[in-house]
Amino acid sequence: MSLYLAITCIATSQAAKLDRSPEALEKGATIYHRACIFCHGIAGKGDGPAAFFASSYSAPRPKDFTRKDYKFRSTISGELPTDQDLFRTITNGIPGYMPPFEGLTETERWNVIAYIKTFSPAFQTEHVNTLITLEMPPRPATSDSIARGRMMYLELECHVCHGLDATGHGPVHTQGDLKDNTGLPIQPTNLTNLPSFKNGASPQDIARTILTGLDGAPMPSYASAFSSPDTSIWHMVNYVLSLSTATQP
Amino acid sequence: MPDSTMRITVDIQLAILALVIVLTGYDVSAQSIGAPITGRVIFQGPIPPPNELKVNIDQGFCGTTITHQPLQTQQGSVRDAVVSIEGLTAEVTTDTTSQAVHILTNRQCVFRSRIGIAQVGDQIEIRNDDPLMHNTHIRLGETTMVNVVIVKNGRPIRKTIQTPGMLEVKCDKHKFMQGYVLAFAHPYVSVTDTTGHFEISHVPAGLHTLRVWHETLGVLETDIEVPTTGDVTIDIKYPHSSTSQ
Ligand code: HEC
Ligand code: HEC
Repeated sequence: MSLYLAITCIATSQAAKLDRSPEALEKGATIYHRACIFCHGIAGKGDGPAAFFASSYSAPRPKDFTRKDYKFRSTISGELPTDQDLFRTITNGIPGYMPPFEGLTETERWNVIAYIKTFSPAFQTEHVNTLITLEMPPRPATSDSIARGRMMYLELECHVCHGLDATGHGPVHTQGDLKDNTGLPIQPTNLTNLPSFKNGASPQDIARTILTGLDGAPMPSYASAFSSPDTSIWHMVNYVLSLSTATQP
Repeated sequence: MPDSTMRITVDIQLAILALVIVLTGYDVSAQSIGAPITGRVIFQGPIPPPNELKVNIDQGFCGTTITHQPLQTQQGSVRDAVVSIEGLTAEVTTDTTSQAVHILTNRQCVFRSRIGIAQVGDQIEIRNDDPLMHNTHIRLGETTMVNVVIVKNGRPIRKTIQTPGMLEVKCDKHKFMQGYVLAFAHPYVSVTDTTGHFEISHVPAGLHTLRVWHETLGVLETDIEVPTTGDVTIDIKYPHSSTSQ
């Protein structure tokens, strides 16, 4: 029997693909200066010229690579992202905030990953990643599954931030209490607008968001609310997915 | 108390040490064990009124206000002050079997304990005793160390402390909830009990800096000479003006 939701400990063999030779880092730096610096800044602090004009008063600002907390991970809250996580983010981009970089070759993307990792010493000192992996495929989105997902949405109190109608206007947000780690106000995602999801919109992506949380933002990890083996995460996911289909005519 | 587990571990270690001494007849010099430093943290100035924290969510359970006095004293001795020796380092073990576990419980919409101490390598176990969702968000500076939800009857979560520093504990859902865990790279640290007393064991001989941290009184430092034999007792006094900013 395979576990539905498995939390696995791995030593970092994940970096096998990553070439950290001086030549690779130099290539990575060149790509960084060409494609990323405008937003993320010369020293990786997230303070490039574009960042100065865009979103000075509300989050998110471009990622400060000297900080080790990343939003889009497959690891438990508080841990670094894997190289594959960074690869996915750079390849797909972040809707509304960062373009996809499929235009770069795979090698170029790995090179720039090697380079941005040099901004935080944590990538040298913290080596173990505890991965959250989903080993079973999603469940069909039956009306029963969606109804159960709605009940979980209320029981797990997603609505305090995302609102009863899931458009992002829950009481914690409307009272102005939600700030990201830079102290700037942040809006809970409008869950009825699937294309705006930053961490991906597939069932697996949404499950990952809920289980890992988005470190640096108030969106918490719900890993402890789903026991393994447990199929209920897909009810939650089916409900979230249903919110967007419902808004489309 | 978050350090009770650690105390127990230390006690067990002492018991083993005593056993070793009995069995081998080995004369352990004070130099190798180090001296205990005991004392009180004192403040006799004016105590500001408690904070009345407005509750804006879950009022049915948490109440409409939470009254919180961060400066609690008993006959002038201050509770929840963290006393540490600065500049000393000791082998910090990464062996998981000897990891101390500090319990941080969400109870009645307050973190218990609010003020804790820990050593790098120790674990924090986050629990929720309340019949509602709490999200415990621990940060070191601007960086998230962990941000997890524990729902009603939810499983506790453990997290290992990797870096020394002042960990700030918050709940994004309940803005009025706040606590601290001060994490150190050495074991020479203690938090004052309800009577304002502290005790730091096994401090190596020499001239050291003793630092006191309190949530509202701030930080005090003083030099302390630890002899090769005998105990050290010291009372550390915050000036009256510490509450008048
Ligand atoms: C148009 C501005 C812009 C450009 C150009 C840009 N980024 Fe970003 N990037 C952002 C913003 C904004 C965020 C933060 C989004 C958020 O926190 O929700 C971000 C976040 C990230 C993240 C962190 C995601 C996480 O998990 O927290 C990575 C990694 C990243 N960018 C890599 C890159 C790389 C590599 C390049 C160049 C190849 C690049 N970015 C170019 C704006 C940009
Ligand atoms: C404490 C407030 C809070 C709670 C509780 C909360 N969220 Fe969120 N959530 C947020 C915030 C804030 C964001 C936006 C983060 C950002 O833009 O970086 C977010 C983002 C998301 C996203 C979108 C991520 C993306 O890809 O862009 C999803 C999906 C989501 N939450 C689902 C849920 C579900 C399901 C629950 C309950 C199980 C939940 N959230 C509970 C605050 C919360």
